[in-house]
Amino acid sequence: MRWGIPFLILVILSIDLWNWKKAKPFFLAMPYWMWYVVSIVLLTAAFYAVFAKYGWREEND
Amino acid sequence: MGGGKRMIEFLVAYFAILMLIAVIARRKTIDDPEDYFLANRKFASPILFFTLAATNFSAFTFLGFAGKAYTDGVGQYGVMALGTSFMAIMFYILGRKIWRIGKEKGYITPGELIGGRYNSKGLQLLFTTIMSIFTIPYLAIQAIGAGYILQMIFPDIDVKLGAIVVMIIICLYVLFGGMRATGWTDVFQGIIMIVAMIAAFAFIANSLGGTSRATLLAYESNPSLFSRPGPNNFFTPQIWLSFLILWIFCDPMFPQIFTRFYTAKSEKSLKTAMILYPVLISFFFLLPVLIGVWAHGAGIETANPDNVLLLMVEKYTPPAVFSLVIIGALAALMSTADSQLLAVSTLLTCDFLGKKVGRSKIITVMLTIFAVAFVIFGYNPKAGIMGTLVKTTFSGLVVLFPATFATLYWWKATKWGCIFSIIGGEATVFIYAFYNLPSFGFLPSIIALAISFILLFFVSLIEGEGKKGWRLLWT
Repeated sequence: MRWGIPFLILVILSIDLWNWKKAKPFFLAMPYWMWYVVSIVLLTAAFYAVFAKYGWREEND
Repeated sequence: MGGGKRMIEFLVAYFAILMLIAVIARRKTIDDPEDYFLANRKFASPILFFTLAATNFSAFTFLGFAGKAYTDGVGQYGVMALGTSFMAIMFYILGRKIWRIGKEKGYITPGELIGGRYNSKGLQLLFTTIMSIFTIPYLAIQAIGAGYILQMIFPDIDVKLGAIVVMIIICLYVLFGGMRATGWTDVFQGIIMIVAMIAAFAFIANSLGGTSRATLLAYESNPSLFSRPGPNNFFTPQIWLSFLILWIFCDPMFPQIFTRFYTAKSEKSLKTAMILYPVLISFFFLLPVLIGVWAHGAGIETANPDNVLLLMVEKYTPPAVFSLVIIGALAALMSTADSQLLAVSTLLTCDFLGKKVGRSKIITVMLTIFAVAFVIFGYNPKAGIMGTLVKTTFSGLVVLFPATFATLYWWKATKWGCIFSIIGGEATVFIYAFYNLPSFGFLPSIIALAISFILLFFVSLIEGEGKKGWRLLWT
């Protein structure tokens, strides 16, 4: 359950209503809110890596 | 668009490599059900990751993302990248348990797992029937898609001929090596997809004066492409949330994804796939979306948005890159279609006819003939019951999730709870497909999913607890 909370936070952060209807400013060819989305995706990968190491107990553990 | 000598060489080389991989896989495969259907449950991390990715990322990912971004803006990246990244948690929530139980009980199909828990052949067949009904038309549509891709480079060749050639090649390598051939070719095709997309992006960006300039040109052409809800008000918060939910719960219900959970060599393979999935998505989904919106700044106009990526590639890259991208689009389509073909033939054979490899090969050939007939007789993919099934594929499959999740985690779930959940969910999908009912801004599939969960919960309580269940309901 404790691993569910950070995952849920990532899901909630992905619904970035505060960025709606905004295009500017741009950073490296994309609106900054797209970089925000990229960050959430990469944070999800980082979360999976930590979870796989410490939270996912394999069959023989 | 037209194909030159180099294009033909590329295409022949691509098909030849696929067949070579299939022949090698054939040598390693014996006609034993576990080996043919599941590669003996021995897919190590790299193969499992690539086969899960290449199977899931279809021609829609390769060509459709650019088309959708062309019409509705860069919001397409957000809904697809976030939803698919979050979906990878299902490799743990569902995949780990499915792999463990499958290995222990010798299960090969999703239906065996669901029916096995409740000792119900009826539920097993219902689950298999629903999965197949919503996947077979999708397979037939892919055959048409292959014909159209080939016609883009060879305008003189009939769409039907191209579709038939591609389906025969897919059928051959599935017959040759079963899951092993499909998984190995997925690795090859996955690498082609990634390399082709990166090459297309790099050349197009360079031709347009760099990424920043390409974006600026597109922004000046239509600023609303870069904000949500986009030019056509498509990406509302409700639609955004709908797609996140849909991808998380629907993707693992594709039979070709579900059966791959059985093929993992170990839990480590599933872990690696889970971690790498969002890493790949973070950039791979971005490239076609940016190319799609850049088309506005480049002055590209097309009535068929799905062609926009190929139009950009043809205009701004050398012929060799154009050829590579065409092969990449075919690879995206074929890596999904082959997995669908094998998965559906596995389901229909093992659940209805018994675990016989020979019978599965007959079913594989029959499904291929069906897909080819679908093309030959010029069926309109947007019409009739088949058209409805294609349009409702994702909705039709997502309502299988509650029964699957409850089977693995909720020990009060019952056979009738699952049956009502599936039938009630599908009924909702079809009611929404034929009647204009309110969905409060959400996709109708989300309503169907909610109804499916509710039916599972209450019917299981009623069946499991008898009168006590009724009291629970009303007190």
